[in-house]
Parts: sequence; structure tokens; C-alpha cells
Amino acid sequence: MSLHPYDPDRLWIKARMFVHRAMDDGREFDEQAFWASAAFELLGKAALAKVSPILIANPNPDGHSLLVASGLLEVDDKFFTIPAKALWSRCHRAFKPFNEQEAAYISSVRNDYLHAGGVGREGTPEAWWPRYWAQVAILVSHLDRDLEELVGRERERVVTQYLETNRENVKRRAEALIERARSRLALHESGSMSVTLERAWAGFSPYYFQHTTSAECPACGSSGTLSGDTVLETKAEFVTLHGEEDQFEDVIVFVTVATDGFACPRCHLELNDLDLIEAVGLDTDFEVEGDPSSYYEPEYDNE
Amino acid sequence: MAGPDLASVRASLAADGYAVSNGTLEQVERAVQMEHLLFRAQGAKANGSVKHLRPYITKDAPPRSLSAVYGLGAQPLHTDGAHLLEPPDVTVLYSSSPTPTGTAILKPGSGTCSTPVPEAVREGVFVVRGNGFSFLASAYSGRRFRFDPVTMSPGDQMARQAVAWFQEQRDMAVIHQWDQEEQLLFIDNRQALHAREAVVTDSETRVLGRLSLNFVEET
Repeated sequence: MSLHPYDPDRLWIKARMFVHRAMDDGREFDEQAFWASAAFELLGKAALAKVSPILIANPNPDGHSLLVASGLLEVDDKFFTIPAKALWSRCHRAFKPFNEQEAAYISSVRNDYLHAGGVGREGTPEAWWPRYWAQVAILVSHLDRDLEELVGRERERVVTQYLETNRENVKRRAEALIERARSRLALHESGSMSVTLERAWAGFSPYYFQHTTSAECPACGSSGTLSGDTVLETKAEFVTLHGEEDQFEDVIVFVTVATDGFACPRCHLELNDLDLIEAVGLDTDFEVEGDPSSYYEPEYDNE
Repeated sequence: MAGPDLASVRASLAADGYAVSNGTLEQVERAVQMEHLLFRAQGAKANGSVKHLRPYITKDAPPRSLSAVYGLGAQPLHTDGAHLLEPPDVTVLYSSSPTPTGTAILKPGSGTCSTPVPEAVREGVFVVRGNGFSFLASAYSGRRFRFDPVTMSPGDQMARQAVAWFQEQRDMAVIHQWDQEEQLLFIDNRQALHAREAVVTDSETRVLGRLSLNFVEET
């Protein structure tokens, strides 16, 4: 057993204790959500620390925490971890399909409870828990563990029900967004849109991530755009091209990209949540041609 | 007197969670050194690791000890070294002469305590107050029990249920009587818990020697 503050097993068992407290009898939702969101943060740190403890060390100017996490300095009480915003950003990039916005929503409960005058409650338990467990389940799987290990066999049934509810909620939300896009399009094309809505319609300017590909819009059937930033895999194919007098080698690069968003220029459907993208049947990753420049040897200009 | 046969001790520990033999702790230490494939001394010191245990009234007992809470009364079931990151695998107790206060031993899931270990014991999380630091642990993890109600505080509801379960099992324990000269009691500290019975008439005379060992795992 290690006593390192960044040891993933120590973070895991503390997360377990906090989750248990959240599920124990006789607590109000405010307090349950507080313990649950504190556990959530520990799970995120455990998942990152499992990859490397440096990922959770606070990069303060003297590098103390980084040096401790690297094993170059002895563990002391001056080891600090990264703030929640950085934590969720890293988890989002490292652990697909972890959702950074959802994480910020969940952990705001803890912040409000601990650091402000509020009681931490946002929404109802029925709405909060399904979203909570959906993100926790992702982190737990990236820790190579399962939910039974986190909450115990008896309570796992409760969690499974929340996850099922979350799936149904996501599906309903996806259906509602599609219906809303269709009705907006109908109003626009019939010329019966209100001035306010028409102004908003004209200002439609979706955000596109670095890599894009076209995909059929699930609402109107037109050609929309899937886009994403994270390259999951890169493949290079070397080909020999024959010119009129000579032949030369060329390289074609294909990259597989994780989908981050979808937007349709016709009906203005915009989806920036991987769960929603999956729920409407769009691809969660796609292949596009990449930039071959990194495969070319640079010119040295030597004789 | 030849001392304990460590091979048969180890077989009894595996079956019952404890073993009784005649001999002294010095003989155990010598046998461990000779038959080093079965047990090894716990910690860095191979010799001189024998501790002497005496009954204390509450106010005279060392802090954080069971006696500091329970005095001469019956102790709760516990494992030795629960506050250590690496508790010993085996506790060897020794009495040079008969003494009326017995030692309770319980191996959950077997013998008189055949009910399965409940989920709360495996899942509940305790705060363990160690030597100069605290850490978190469950009462059963990694195929070993770790439980001491004085150095371990329940961190959640399941841990509190675990404490209650260990209390309920106290009546199921086997009672070892120290009714012979030069008697040794080996306890598998991973699979069994133990506790001193309430001190009867030997509060001034009862002295048990204690030695901690680790198993040498079969490869």
C-alpha cells in the first residue's frame, strides 16, 4: 500500500468512501450531491493519475508538485493537484466520451456547497443522478474497474437504473431537438417565422472543429457536417505515381477523428454532445484525409 | 521439548484459522529460521521481536490500545497490526503457565461462523489511524481481514454495519483455554480475528508473549 497522495488506489478508495456517504440512508439530497461530486473529482484524478501522476500535479511556478509526482522530490504536505477546470478538460480529452460540460455542471454543486452561500442544489435528484452516473461510469471504466467495485453489489442496481434513465433522457432530448429543428425549418421555408426567430436564424454560425466530413442530417436529410479535434488513429499509404517521363513516391494520410459536433446548414440542427450524436444515429468517429506534410523529409539544402 | 512442527501448524492455520502447539517463542523463532520456506519473521528484525502483553485497567493502558477502551473487560474481535500498512500474517501467542483468561478466535465463513462475510465488511471504508499518518482501508480486502475498532473509525454506513457484524460474531468464536504449561497459539491474522476474554482472576499474573510472522507464499 502506497501513501503517495497521487496514488490512484488511494484516490479510488477515498472516492468509494465519499460515494458510499452519498448513498447512505438519512441524508438530504444537498449533502448527497456534495459527497457525490467530491467523489467524482477524486475519480477523475484517479483515472488521470493511473496514466501518470504528473497529469494531476499542479504546475505551480516552482514545479514542486510536478517534481513530487515525478518521484524526484519526497512526498510532503505541499503537493497540490490541478483545479477542477483543468481536471475536466484533461479527462474530456483523454477519456472519450467524457463530457467536460456535464462534469462542470456536476462539480458546481460541490463548489456552491463548499465555497458559496448556496446549498449546492441545482435541479432535482431525479434529473441530477442520471447525469452524474453517466459521467462516473465513464471514469470507472477508464480505471479498469466496474460500478460494483465502487458502490457494492446491492447499490449497483440503483446505479444501473439511473444509467437506464439517462439513456432514455438522452434519447428523448435528441428526439426533441430533431423535432424542434424540423418545425423551425418549416416555419422558415413557409415565411411564417417571427422577426425574432428569423433574426436568430440568420445569425446561425455553428462552431466547426479542426477536422470535418459531411453526414446526412437526421432532421431534414440534407448534407450536414460532422467535426472533431481528436485524432484517434493515423494511417499512411505510400503510392507510386507515374509521370510522363519518370515515376515518384507520394504519401496519402488518413486520420480517424473522434466526433465532437454536428451542424446542419439547412435546418440549423446543432449537436455538441457525443451522447446526443450517438442517440440520433450519427457516427461517433469518422475518417478523413490528413496532412501529408509531416511525412516528407525536409530539404537540407546541402550539396 | 522439540517445539512446534511448523508444517502441521501451517496446515491447521489454513483449515481452522488457528493452531495450538506446545513450545516457546524462542523455539518458534529457531524453527522459522530453519524452515524458512514456511514462515518468515515480520519486519526487519529476525530476533528480539517478542512483545509481552499484560492486562491493563483503562487509565494505565497505552493510548490507542484495546485496553485503553475496554480495560480488563472482554475485548472485541480484532486483527493485530490493523493500523500498519502491512499487518503481520500470523500472530503467535505464548503462555509459560496456565492462566484462566481465554482467547477467543473466529474465522469467518467457516466452523462455528459459517455465514458468508457480508458485503458491508468488504465494501465499507474505514479511516485507519496509523503511526503518524492515517489512511483508508476496508475490513476485508486482498484476501485478508483488517479490523480493530479502536484504531479504525467507520467512514460510511457500510463500515458501521461491518462493526456491528463483527460484534454479533463475537459469540460464535472458539475459546482457547490456556490450561497447559508452555503453550503456543498460532492465529492466521489474515483469515481469523481474535480477542482476549474478560480477565478473570489473573489480572496481576497473566503475561502472554507475542511474536509476529509472515507466510512465505508458495510459488
